[in-house]
Amino acid sequence: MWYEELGYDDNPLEANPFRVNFPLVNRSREAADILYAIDAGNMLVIEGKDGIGKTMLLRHAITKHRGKGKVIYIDGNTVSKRLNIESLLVKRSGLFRGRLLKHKPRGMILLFDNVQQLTKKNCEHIKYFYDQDYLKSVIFTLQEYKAAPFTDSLRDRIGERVIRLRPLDDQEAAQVIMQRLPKSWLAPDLIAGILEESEKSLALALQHTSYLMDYAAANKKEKLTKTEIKKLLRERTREMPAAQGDLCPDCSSPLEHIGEYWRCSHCDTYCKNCGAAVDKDDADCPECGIRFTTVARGEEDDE
Amino acid sequence: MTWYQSLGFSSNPFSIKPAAFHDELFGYEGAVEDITKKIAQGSVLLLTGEYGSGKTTVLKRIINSFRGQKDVIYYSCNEREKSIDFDSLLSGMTFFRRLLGIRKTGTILLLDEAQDMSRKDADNAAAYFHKGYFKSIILVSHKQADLLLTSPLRELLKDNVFRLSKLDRKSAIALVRKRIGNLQFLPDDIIEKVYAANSNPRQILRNCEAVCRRAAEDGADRVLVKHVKDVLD
Repeated sequence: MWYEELGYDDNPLEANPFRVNFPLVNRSREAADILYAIDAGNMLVIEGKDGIGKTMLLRHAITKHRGKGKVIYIDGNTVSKRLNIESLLVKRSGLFRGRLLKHKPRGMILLFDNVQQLTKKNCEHIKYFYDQDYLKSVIFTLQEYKAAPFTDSLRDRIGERVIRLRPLDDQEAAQVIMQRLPKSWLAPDLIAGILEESEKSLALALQHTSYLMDYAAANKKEKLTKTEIKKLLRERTREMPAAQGDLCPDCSSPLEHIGEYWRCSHCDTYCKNCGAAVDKDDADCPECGIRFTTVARGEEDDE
Repeated sequence: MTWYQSLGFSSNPFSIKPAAFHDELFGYEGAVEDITKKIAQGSVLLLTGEYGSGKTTVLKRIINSFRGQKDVIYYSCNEREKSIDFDSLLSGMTFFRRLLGIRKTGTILLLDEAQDMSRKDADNAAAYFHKGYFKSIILVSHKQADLLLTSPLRELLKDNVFRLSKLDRKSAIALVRKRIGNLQFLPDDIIEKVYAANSNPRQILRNCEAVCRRAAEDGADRVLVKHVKDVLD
């Protein structure tokens, strides 16, 4: 791989915020608001488009609170509709105190990434656990707060605490890419070319850059021109109808398109009929109701 | 350092969690007195009020006022997905009592979030009331219309409905003062402005937090009118 030849162990342009550790670019106000909400025991919503940096902000909050066993991170894209918030809390207390005595820890911090679907029951659970201080603070991220499936009572607890993430301007976005590579490698005008093709998504811009580095290394090209970059990225975008790319961000195997979801047969557990995320022990799909045989459910590999 | 830490609080004094501050109730003393009287007589009542108006806080006060004299069960209907297991509530969950099937009588049942109660729960509640296990039942719900009332329960309820009305100005100031004491960082006239913007108790607390945070970030030694304007407009 190109980055190995250049002396990196891992891809520095990795778009998954949990795999790399680079400082936030020009998000200090938002980061401070999140840390404050966690400290003060509030509910907060962060809204913004795909790839704009929501998960990056959450990762920043996790780094600040790690080591105390207080943070629960859930990614809404990979959990089943049947997710039970209560059992998550109970599991935290371990086998004896938790499972047997139903003890729940207090003062936990819930970070709920990509809340696309939240059943009414889970809304009520979150609200109840928040009121009783089992959950000290809750941070949600999603694309559109207005369209989110929150109950009125949950919305009332959130109140006006909604942060709308603005997209970074081109200079800031260029900084996100440049801070990951030695300065001389990519000329600013090339980065501008990449950003033009990235629809304000930082995640996509990083994937694009990584793809170009890959291409340059494979074809032994010293330099790419701006027109070449445009052509390459247009081709790439055409080949991948999904916004996030046709490859799994975790294992780089091709994704399968089912219904409105893109699923990786190695990393996700999902319903092969409608594509919804499901639990391993689900007997039927919570979304389309189909009964599972071993064939109907794509399962995560254990390796 | 957050604004409340620099004022000497270890945690956010304007927390909106009903469980965080005990024994704090302003403006609804009359309602609580009436409810307590009704409970002592033994009846089924309903308490309604807007989101954040203090329904759960009123319940906490009622629990406190009966502490040590009567058995009070507080149950939040949104806590579990299953229907309510009245037997285990009544036997107090202790193993011995469960084994022998001993159930207490004359208990007071507080059902929070009663809109999540199922039809079966409602019928069961009425049946247990008739058998004398529950002396009084207090249902708490956002709106009466949302409530799933079966006819036996509706008969018991009759017109015992209490609605939490708006908080008055004086009570609003008392509520905030209870949280932060006589701190001049947040003067009374500012609290009045916050109250004027929105008189819902939960919203008052949240807005007070916002203006205090704003003023502290501004480096001011007290909250000024412009901070209120910044935050609430």
